[in-house]
Amino acid sequence: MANGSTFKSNGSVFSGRLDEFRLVELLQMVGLQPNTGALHLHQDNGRTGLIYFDTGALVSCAELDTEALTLGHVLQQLGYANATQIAHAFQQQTQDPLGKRIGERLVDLGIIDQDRLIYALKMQALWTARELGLWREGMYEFHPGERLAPDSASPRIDSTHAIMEMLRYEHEWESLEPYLRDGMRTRLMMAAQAPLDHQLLFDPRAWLIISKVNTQQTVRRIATTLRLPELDVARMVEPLIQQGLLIPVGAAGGPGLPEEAERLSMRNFDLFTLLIGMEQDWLKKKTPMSQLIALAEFINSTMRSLEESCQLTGLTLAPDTLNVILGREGLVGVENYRFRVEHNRIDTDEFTAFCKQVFDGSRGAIGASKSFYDRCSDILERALGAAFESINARIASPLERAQNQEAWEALFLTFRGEQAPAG
Amino acid sequence: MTHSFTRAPFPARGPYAAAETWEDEFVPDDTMYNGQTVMLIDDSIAVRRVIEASFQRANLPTTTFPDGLAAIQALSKGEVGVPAVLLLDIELPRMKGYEVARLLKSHAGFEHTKIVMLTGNDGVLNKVHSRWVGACDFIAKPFRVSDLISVVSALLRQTPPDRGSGGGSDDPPDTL
Repeated sequence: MANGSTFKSNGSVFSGRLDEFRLVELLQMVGLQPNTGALHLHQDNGRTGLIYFDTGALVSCAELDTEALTLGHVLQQLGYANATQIAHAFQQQTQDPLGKRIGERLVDLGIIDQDRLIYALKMQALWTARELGLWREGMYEFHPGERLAPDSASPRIDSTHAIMEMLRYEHEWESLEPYLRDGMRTRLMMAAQAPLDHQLLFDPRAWLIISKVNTQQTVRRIATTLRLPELDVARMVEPLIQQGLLIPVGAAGGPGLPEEAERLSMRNFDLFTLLIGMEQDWLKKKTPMSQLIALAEFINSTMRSLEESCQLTGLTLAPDTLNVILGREGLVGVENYRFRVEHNRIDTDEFTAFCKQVFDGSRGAIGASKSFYDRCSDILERALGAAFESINARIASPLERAQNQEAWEALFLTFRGEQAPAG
Repeated sequence: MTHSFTRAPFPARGPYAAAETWEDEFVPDDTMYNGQTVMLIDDSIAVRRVIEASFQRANLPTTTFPDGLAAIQALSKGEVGVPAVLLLDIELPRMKGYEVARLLKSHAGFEHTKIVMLTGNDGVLNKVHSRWVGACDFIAKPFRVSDLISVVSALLRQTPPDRGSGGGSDDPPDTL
């Protein structure tokens, strides 16, 4: 640890300043042990980076920025997919925002195979990490145990490999940094007039870059359009800046999400108001049967709110979304009864009849009724939690995700009649 | 500890800031309230969690308590400052919200504290009773979280931070 560092650890979270402890050093500390959790990086200008570790391996690295490196950028830069194919997959996403992720859709469409998807995700994480490794100021905070939503296509990157790549990149970037101060987000413009001593003879690849500057502006976007790795494009841009043909004009982007991810995010889903309403409804339900029906109705009201939220951003919720969520979690019914689910709603009339039949059938047998209630409420609660979880997985901010989960778990305590722990 | 203090840690800026939540209609900055705090007393852990999280996203410093006695105890020990706005559930264990409001309002330190009653029972009598005990507003549950933030933000803007203990003084009210 550096002398005078603000590094501190309370056993659960450590945090400090990046000017005292660089990312590459943090990676050594976190990644060389079997740690699981998330490293949050933050700068005063609002830039945020998130690196997730699973038992010491780096499994995801992302920047929360409107110009962040996306999987779509990487797939195009590696030549695995073109813009039209990615737009097609994205269009499918808008019809089923809680369904498969865009990479899985591209695999389904036969545009890439699973190996290429995992390789591209790996490159996305590595390329983002090496850019974050250049940060010289800001804060870091490690959150042990914090995980991403499970994803079958997550890459696992050995921490030593990531550290070596970051050191190599840092070394190479030393020569590019004076010209591209904002990395791949650097905005470029054509010089108003050509330098007098320039013969205006160009390598064909240099001309390709020049021809894209006005429309694409940043190194990252130019590289994506040309379907070339962005570091290669940065190398080609550097002499053009040196020669006075291109001029760097600051950084593009700002805190947020890239446009497509922003549209798919569930940030305008008003979970908290929904939870407050559910609690009030619940408090009016005094009988076991009315409580079970209320739980089924809460699932329906969650799906209804979700549909409304999707409509606001021009998305359409796939009609089998609830079926998929229940099926994935193995929550399709209770005992021999299967929930009838149509258009993202549980048929509560049929479910009410089923409950009535069970409670009437076990009249006088309090133990049997209670046992049914416990099993049924457990399944419905888990189903409601799974719906919340699916929505929460689309929230970019880990802080908001954690707060959302804490809030619905508090509601579940009320459902179970458990005494609330103090604030 | 019977209370929590929702501070604005480093993630409460940039992409974590309130502007990116649904409370877009009003997004106060970090310094707008000059240290004024909001206190919530509600026995529902779900309500406390929801309000802690959503107020944190809106940069509103908030303390929460499950009942009035816990809040009074923390105030008298100086563990928390006198809030500028108090959100008070009516149906509380150990001591009703009305009694809590009457007790606090009888103390000079709470002269400028704005009390907002929260209740699941939207009856006229509750509203009248709330007025009698010094509450300035009444919000029926279920409420929209964004509406509550708007109400609290407006009340905080009405309360000058330099006026008495309602401005968020950390000094304990000595007679509580």
